[in-house]
Amino acid sequence: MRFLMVDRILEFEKGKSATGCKDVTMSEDFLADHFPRFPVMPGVMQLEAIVQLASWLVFVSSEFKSKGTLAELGAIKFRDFVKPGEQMTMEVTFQSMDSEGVTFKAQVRVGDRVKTILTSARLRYIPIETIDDPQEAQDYFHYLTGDKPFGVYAS
Amino acid sequence: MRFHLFDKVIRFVPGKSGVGVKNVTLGEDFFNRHYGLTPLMPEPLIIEAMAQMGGWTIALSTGWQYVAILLRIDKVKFYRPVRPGDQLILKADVLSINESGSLIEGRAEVNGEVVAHAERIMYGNSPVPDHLRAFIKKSYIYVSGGFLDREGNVITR
Repeated sequence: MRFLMVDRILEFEKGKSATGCKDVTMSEDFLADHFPRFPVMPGVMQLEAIVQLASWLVFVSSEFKSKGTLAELGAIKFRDFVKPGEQMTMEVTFQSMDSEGVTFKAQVRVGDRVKTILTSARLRYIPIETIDDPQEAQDYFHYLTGDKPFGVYAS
Repeated sequence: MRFHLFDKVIRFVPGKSGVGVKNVTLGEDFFNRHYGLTPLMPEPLIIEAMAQMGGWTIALSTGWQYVAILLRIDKVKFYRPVRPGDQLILKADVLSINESGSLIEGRAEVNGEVVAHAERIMYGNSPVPDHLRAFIKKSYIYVSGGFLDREGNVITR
């Protein structure tokens, strides 16, 4: 598998908030072990989806200079299972930004039902060129938002 | 990717603590795109590693009467990145276990240095139905990495 937990970025406002989605499918490798005979989306994979969406918001808010890695987690509550066939909607809201990182809250919904609540967490900035090819990351961001096709199809 | 976030158990004190090992290798699926130029272990999976060690400790402490379902995670700090080649030592300390739920404090260390600390990981204890008890027991023995024998007893070396 590829470790990409955001399928689409539905909307975003720089420095403020973003909404994204992730379809949960039975063919997901990790569902075989989580759990045997009871496939549910692992809570930490929901957290990863939230973190990746927040990191994309850091990326666009920093004019494509930085992403974010999880530095601190205040609290995350899992209220109900997310099952294969469901679509998770992740909503991230930045609470404060400084020179080191960003503090945010988030939730995961399936339809109208709130499944998971993250009350606060902090991402530390990480310069994009130290982890990924900056141009590829930028192209991929535009692909996720639907602004542009990806890669060789970009022209 | 498979979803076993520890490779073996190395210590277990019933009702008190469990210690396990997770070897981090570049062959892991999660390093694909995380990231393209620098492989770093995703922090949520470090939480999962501590949480799985905690869940195993709870299940074994209760004699497989319950499986632990993750309900809530509080106050986690990450002190430095985890890279391929690192060996994570996962320490789960039991804060409480009762019929309704359990609390664990988790630590992940590399070379004696704490890389992540979770103050509280809260689980709901879900009773294991009789017809699944043998199956559940087998899977917990499987992930113990040779710490338990086929009957589920600790192998003393």
